[in-house]
Amino acid sequence: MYRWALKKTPLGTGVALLALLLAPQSLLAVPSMGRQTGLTCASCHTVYPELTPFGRQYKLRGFSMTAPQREKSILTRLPISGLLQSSITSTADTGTVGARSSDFPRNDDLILQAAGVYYGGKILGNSGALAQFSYDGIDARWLMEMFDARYASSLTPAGRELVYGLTLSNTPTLTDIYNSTPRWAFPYVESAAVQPTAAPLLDLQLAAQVGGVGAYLMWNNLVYAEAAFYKAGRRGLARALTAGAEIENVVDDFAPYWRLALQHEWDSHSLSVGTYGMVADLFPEGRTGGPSNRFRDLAFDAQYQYIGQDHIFSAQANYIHERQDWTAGFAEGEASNRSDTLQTLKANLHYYFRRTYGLGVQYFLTRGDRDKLRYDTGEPVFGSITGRPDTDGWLAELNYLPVSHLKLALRYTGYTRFNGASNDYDGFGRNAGDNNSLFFLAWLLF
Amino acid sequence: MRTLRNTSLALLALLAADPTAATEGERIYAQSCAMCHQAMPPRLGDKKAWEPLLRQGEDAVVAAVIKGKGAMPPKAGNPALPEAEIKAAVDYMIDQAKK
Repeated sequence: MYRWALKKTPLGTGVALLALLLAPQSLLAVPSMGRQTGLTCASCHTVYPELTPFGRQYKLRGFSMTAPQREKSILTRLPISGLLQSSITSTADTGTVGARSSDFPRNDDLILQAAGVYYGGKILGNSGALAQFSYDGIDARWLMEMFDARYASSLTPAGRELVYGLTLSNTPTLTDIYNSTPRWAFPYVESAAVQPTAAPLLDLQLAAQVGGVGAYLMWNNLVYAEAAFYKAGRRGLARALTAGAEIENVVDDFAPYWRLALQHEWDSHSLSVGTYGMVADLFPEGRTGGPSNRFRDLAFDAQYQYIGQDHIFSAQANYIHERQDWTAGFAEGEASNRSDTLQTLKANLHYYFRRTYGLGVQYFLTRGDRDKLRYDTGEPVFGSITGRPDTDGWLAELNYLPVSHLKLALRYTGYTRFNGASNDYDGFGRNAGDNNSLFFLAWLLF
Repeated sequence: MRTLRNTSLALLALLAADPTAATEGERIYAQSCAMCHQAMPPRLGDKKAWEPLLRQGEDAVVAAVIKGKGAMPPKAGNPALPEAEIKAAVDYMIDQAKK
């Protein structure tokens, strides 16, 4: 049963509504970038945050392109914007024997999911940044949710343009220009509902956990390549890039990340196919030294977009294969196997009519080796009596944008299998379908 | 007599040309196109980059600007930009590519 009783109306929600009422209708997403370029949000986004081919170029070129007449005014150059996200998550069943209310945080409450500021746009010359420092209303903390500063330039050897750049970021795939890699993939905003236990490292397990430097290039608007190294966000610059975040996944030394993609644009269509990966040694949970476990992720992704005046259609697919070597975990009795594999597949379609009405659907699947010590934790809700991470299901999301800078979303997530089984997956009588959820989101940029 | 005739013809040609067209095109280019066409291909005045577009003809280029194509956003990202102004800017950019 879904119960949207709106039991609490936090102050933040009032603030969000007030800001919504006061917000002018002509704002752009990310608004400071719109002010800098003088372009409508539709130039860079189909509907935010999905990028158009021009949006990808703007990011590639260091967020620094500036309309000449905009150079003069200090106010129009101020690269600061705000965001507010208010949401309600309602999980189908929260009454499992032994489950705690904290297993379903803020269920059925209207919450301020996020509120904060962006630095979005040019810094100096050919450099710029997109950084978000915001309050997370689910974990109740302020943190650097994302940080991507970059410098870019270009050459034209043999008549073919080569755009190249350097990045400083706090999340693998945050720097990517396509919406088929995890950080910028549909459905963009996670609900507060229970999530499957297993996810590969590249699927946001290092989000705001690391700081890294990278280099990228785009050759002839055809080949995109990127290489980066990430370090645990515990000290120095890496800590500054993850300010406020609790570092739970501690990377030992440096973790290399790489990316290669091919793209083609024709008329109103664009297509990209790519691969990316990472190798990272992580200390077991709660430790920052000693033996570590190695994770090797190899992923493949693809994206197609049709962007017409009235109709926009996009499709993305993403597959990640992870090999987990439990060097520390097996020796210390935290894993049953010396090594495991984990695979995830996500495929989604999204349609928008006049950038106002939208429908998105996604199919997702997780498969992996049976590992009793890893997955059969003996907990209700999060455990797996079969010791398997297997999960599959789908989600559907309706969108309505009454103005270009306000997105309303209503999402249903349905599971046919969760943590290894359809029925009684945790050994406490909980079924996969009990984790089905409804999620309402109001997402305002200003 | 011949000098007077040549001078008169030259003056007539100057009068017949519309000096405001080039100025208008340049102004719109600076306002709505320069940000991208200074930073990314086809850059203003880059003959090689403009060659394939010139082969398609001006009408096709104007249509691509209005509708959008690849990284080119519809109407250069400004839905209020009148088609006549788009044409003037395209004229100016084509002229620069031919120089």
